[in-house]
Amino acid sequence: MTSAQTSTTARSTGPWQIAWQRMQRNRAAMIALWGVGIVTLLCLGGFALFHESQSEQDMNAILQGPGLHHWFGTDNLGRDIFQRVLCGGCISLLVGIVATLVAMVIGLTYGLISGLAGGRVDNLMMRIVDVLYGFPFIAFVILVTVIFERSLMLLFIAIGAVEWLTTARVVRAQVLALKNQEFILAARTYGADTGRILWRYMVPNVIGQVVIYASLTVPGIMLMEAALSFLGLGVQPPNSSWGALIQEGANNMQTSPWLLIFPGAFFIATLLALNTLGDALRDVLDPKSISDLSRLDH
Amino acid sequence: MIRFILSRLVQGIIVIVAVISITFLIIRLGPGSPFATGREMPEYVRANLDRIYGLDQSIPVQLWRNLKSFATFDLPVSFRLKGWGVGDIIAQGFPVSFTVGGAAFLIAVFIGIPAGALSALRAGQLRDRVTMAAATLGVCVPSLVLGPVMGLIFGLKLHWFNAAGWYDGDDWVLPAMTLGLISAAAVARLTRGGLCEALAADHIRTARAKGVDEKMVVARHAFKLACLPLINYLGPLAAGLLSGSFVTETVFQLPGLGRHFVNSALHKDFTLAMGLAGFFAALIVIFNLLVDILQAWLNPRIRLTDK
Repeated sequence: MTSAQTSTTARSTGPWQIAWQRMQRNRAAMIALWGVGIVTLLCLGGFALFHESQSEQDMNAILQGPGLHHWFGTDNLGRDIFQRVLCGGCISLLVGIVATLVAMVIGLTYGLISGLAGGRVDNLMMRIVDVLYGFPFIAFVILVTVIFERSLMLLFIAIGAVEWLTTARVVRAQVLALKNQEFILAARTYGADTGRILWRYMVPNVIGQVVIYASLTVPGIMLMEAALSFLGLGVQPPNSSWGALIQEGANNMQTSPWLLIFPGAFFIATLLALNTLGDALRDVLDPKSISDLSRLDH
Repeated sequence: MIRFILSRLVQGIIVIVAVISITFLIIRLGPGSPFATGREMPEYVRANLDRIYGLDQSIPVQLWRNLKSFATFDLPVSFRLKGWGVGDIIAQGFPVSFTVGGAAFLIAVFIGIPAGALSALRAGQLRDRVTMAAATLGVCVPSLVLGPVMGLIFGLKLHWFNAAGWYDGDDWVLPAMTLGLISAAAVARLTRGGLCEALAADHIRTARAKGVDEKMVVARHAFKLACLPLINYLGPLAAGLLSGSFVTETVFQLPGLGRHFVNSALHKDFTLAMGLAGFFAALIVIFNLLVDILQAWLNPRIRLTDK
């Protein structure tokens, strides 16, 4: 080991730094990370630049193939597909991230309460989760988006409200394992109240697991949003999302395949990168493998 | 065992009643009416219609009446499809969803499991890497992209099948391939993961040390262990596929349960939506129960108790 490497290892011994070092050794994960970063920046920049002009119609270029002027071609209203793919991607990513946050907050809260309460309350709360696993949730999401006025807020909540079950289970198991450990007992003897124990001692210890699960949830939620938008129940015009664009593309694919190819390719590439990243995070942040690694490094 | 099954059945019935009730409440408490048409309806006509169908009663009374009719299998009629009972629509739509979903499930199992198992046995080799790259890509291709592409290639270009609709005997092929290939990718990944872990387990080393034939080691000892996570995934998958996919049935214009459900919601046809949601829930309950029983049968460490 060279001296430079030794000094890095010596300086960064926190679990997050170790995770980051492990991550850097995983080539696929780094490519995926770059991919997600680039797509996110492109979509954000695209939204900032084009979110007005994406609805502009170029009447001289209706259903035109990809070319110098319209890089990804135009749709049947003469709108620029490049601009629409970037703006739509921004909305897709936004729904994916915000709905995941909603799901994680619900799951984390539920799991913390259940685990900390213990006993009968815990039993009941986990039985409810078991029962909820049997619900046809996608049907409910479709119902809610059909019946109520469609907005991004409704999408965030409706999708977020169905994806928290596994998080709740994972967090609760972790809390049960932590609850009787010495450092929690020590905090109690110092006079820390339940709120402080939760916030200072429990949350930091379960957040790794929540991050793993969140990263694996984002692509699933983006798929659900795309399915809803494909059915016409998700993101509404003038806004767009990859699912809505793919639906337009599918209707015109025989004559104008670029309408399907570009949003489809962006969507698939993003899902691929997010899934790879999620898998890598799971390998990297798993507390068991972290301790293994720290043994190896020191 | 019997007690376990009974308690799970009771729990299942509670789930189904809850699902039917929630469906009813979402539609009835939300805006809109099953009688809404494009044009303005005179107030007295609406009032009369509401009275005839009992929609002027209080929400709990209506809910109770509907639940009673579902419980006694005296199914209500659909509001949108005049002259059709909810039972008739399910009886007509389920065979479509069942054919497509069943075929998709078989594709998922018969492509996914062998592909994943071969990958696990050749872990690290080129064939494993290629298969797993394909499977990883497969889980990322959504049916709303694969479906239209399949329809374009095999329907509109090659004319092997109808690109959409439910007319000919082979119209199940494209939607089943769409759903099946995507699920096969997930199944292959799970099989590989499960089998790799199982092959590293202690009892496998013992079996090998005893001199058990390698084929037997894999087939009897390792595969049984690898099946456990797989069955956990396959149960809900089967329930989901058989109840009809919302997107795929829309892509291929199939008259299955998934599309009936979307349409029933769009038209506030709450009796049909309740019936379908209850049916979906019943499928999930049945397959979850099957998963539990299979798990216990495969893994003697699991004891079925009604705790």
